Amino acid sequence: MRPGLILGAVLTLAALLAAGLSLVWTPYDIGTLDIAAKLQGPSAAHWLGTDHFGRDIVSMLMAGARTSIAVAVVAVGIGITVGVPLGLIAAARAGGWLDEVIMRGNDLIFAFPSLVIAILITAVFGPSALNAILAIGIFNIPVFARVARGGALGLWTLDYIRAARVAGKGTARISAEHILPNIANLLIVQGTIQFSLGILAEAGLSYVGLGAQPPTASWGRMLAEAQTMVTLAPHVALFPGLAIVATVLGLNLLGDGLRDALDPRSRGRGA
Amino acid sequence: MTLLRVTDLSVSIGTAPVLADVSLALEPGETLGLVGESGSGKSMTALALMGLLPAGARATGRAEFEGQDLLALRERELCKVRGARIGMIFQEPMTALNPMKTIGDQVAETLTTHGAATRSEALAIARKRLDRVGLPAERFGLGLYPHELSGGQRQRVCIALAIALRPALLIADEPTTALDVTTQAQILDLLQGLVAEERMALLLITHDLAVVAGRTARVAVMQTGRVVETGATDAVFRAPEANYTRALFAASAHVPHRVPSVSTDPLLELQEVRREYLLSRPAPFAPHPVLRAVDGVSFTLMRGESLGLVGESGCGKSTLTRAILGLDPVQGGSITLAGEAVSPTMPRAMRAGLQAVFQDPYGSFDPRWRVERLVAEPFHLLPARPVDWRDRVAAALVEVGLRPEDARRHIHEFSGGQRQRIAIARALITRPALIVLDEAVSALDVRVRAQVLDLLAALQESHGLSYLFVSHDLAVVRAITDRVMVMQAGRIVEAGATERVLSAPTHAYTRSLLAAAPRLPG
Repeated sequence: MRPGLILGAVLTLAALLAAGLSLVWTPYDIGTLDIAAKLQGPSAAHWLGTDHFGRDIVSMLMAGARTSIAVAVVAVGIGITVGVPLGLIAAARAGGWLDEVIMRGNDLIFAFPSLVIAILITAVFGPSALNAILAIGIFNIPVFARVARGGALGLWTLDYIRAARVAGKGTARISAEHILPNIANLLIVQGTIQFSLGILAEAGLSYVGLGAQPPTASWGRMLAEAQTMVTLAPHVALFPGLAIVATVLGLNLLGDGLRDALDPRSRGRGA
Repeated sequence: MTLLRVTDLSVSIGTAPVLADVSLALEPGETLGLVGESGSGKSMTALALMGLLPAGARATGRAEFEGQDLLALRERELCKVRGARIGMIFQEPMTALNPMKTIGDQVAETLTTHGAATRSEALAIARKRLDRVGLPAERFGLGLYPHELSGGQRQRVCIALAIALRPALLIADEPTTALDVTTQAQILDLLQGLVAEERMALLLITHDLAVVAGRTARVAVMQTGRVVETGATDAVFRAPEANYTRALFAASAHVPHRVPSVSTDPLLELQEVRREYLLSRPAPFAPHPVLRAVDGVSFTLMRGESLGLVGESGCGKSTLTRAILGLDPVQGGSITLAGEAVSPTMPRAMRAGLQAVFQDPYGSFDPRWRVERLVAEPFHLLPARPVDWRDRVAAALVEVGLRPEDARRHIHEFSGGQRQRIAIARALITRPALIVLDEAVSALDVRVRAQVLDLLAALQESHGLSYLFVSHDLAVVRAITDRVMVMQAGRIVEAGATERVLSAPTHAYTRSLLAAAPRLPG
């Protein structure tokens, strides 16, 4: 067991726990403003201090974790459920017209930065966390399609795929039984990277006001609001920033560790 | 004065010993063959000399080269020896060159790196070296990239690179294993000529005893990290002393016991089969040029027959094999199995009668599946998986010499020979009439290869199987087939009884193949 995997799992679990717990309990109600207690430093009552409306930062971070994680999970989910099948189909028909159509469609989506897509969606539907999810999710599709296609292309040339074809299996079945499990490593690693990028993207979109709207708490908006007071009360900006860094780092370590742990060739060795 | 004297070289990785007390000596201009099976430590010996051992490996002992102990040198001092005083050639010419740099630059780089020449001088020397290795200026300019050359030509570039600074010692690690027999003979001739001309010493590492025969003055045989026998090549070949060496010779010459039982009932019939590929357009909107990889091949394989298909890489035998397995469509002619047409859309029940074993024992299995699931995969061809499938997998494993318990293990727990047995079990599971063996024993060590050939012969007799045996190795084809076909440039140029074709060939190409094939004396 690698120390990186454990650290990654602990950091990720902490973020998930905080998000889960905030559904039923936070130390303070983040809907209640207490202007008299604004911009306090860390203390026994408020562990990480309060923001400019006097809201407890621990409570805000917990509620913000929920937004960030929900956005990232759904966005990565969209990317995987749409992108991976597209990539597998493209690889199975490599060089054919279907491959061409899928991959050029991907290029088209890649050509638009997710921020532009988000502005587009916001212009039509108005700003909300849901629109951030859609924007980030659409941007994830070509990423997973390319990773899946690239991994699958290498596998299609291997003898065990030929053996499966000699055993009469069709492309769909081979893709599901042989290709997908063998590119799962790649997808898990890419998934954790996209997950952390999703958290960053959500923070970014909320920062410019295109993501979650008040009163929904969000790490990105906490940063944006704290920005003007950074010289006055640096802790207000510091803690949401640290939360983002810790979660992103944890996810990356987790992805790296999982890739090694999921490889059957490393199983049983040294045991 | 001795050029290289290795004394009690031992290497361990972690706690596992990989080399134990290896001692070798090489005089200037002398040639030494280092022979052994995979895992015997022959490549590790070369890496230890070059200071290129993998991370975590520890070497003890001495390796005196031109008066300094290579094992005691620091990395910076080693860099002055590597490439300049010791040149090295690797097995795989396809990956040994940088695809982004021209061949001229790569040869010249060796010279400029060691400060032996300015860039323009280096290019001039590179030109001379490339001329010397048989890549003349008129056809092989310095500006060519590796992908514009064939495997044999690339290996010549690697040799030019290795001899650029006229090293005193040249280490060649399986330099011809990835090449065809005719190319192999040319490269070995080139190495021999260079050594004689430049008074270089040569350490030729190979798994193939026949490559060393008549090529090196002395030979050292390695087994599990130890040198078991050293001596003049002639003497070792005439009267091997170590039991292991004798076992290697016996395995190399092994012919499995076969009872030919060829019927007159045709099983597989090919009529004027053509396979064509569209190449990329030379210009936009120009028509695709067509490459005809298989050009009008016809033959008949009888029930119970073992038929060989021999040819060098690029001759179309793999393309033909894929068509016979019904993986690719044909562009002309017909393939029938027991009277029914073979095609990518043929019914599953028909595919069950036609199975295959492929070359690479490592790439032939999904690493995530257990053996029982791997062996049972062709059951997909039956209307339903038989209820007693586990018993049938166990029976198949026993038939190929493994244990029923092996079904629960993962494929990475098996050696190359065991994997090839599992591949044969997988091919047997649907009780096919024909098994296509596509270079099925080429990647195996000689002793394992002999065992697998015995197994194939025994299974043919007990199951009444027919084999289509595709291989580049004439000795193997001679041992296991009744008839053989020789393929060149998409056509069958000669066919007939194996003994007749290989002892009295009529076609010029067959004769050149036989002449180039390395042979053990006696």
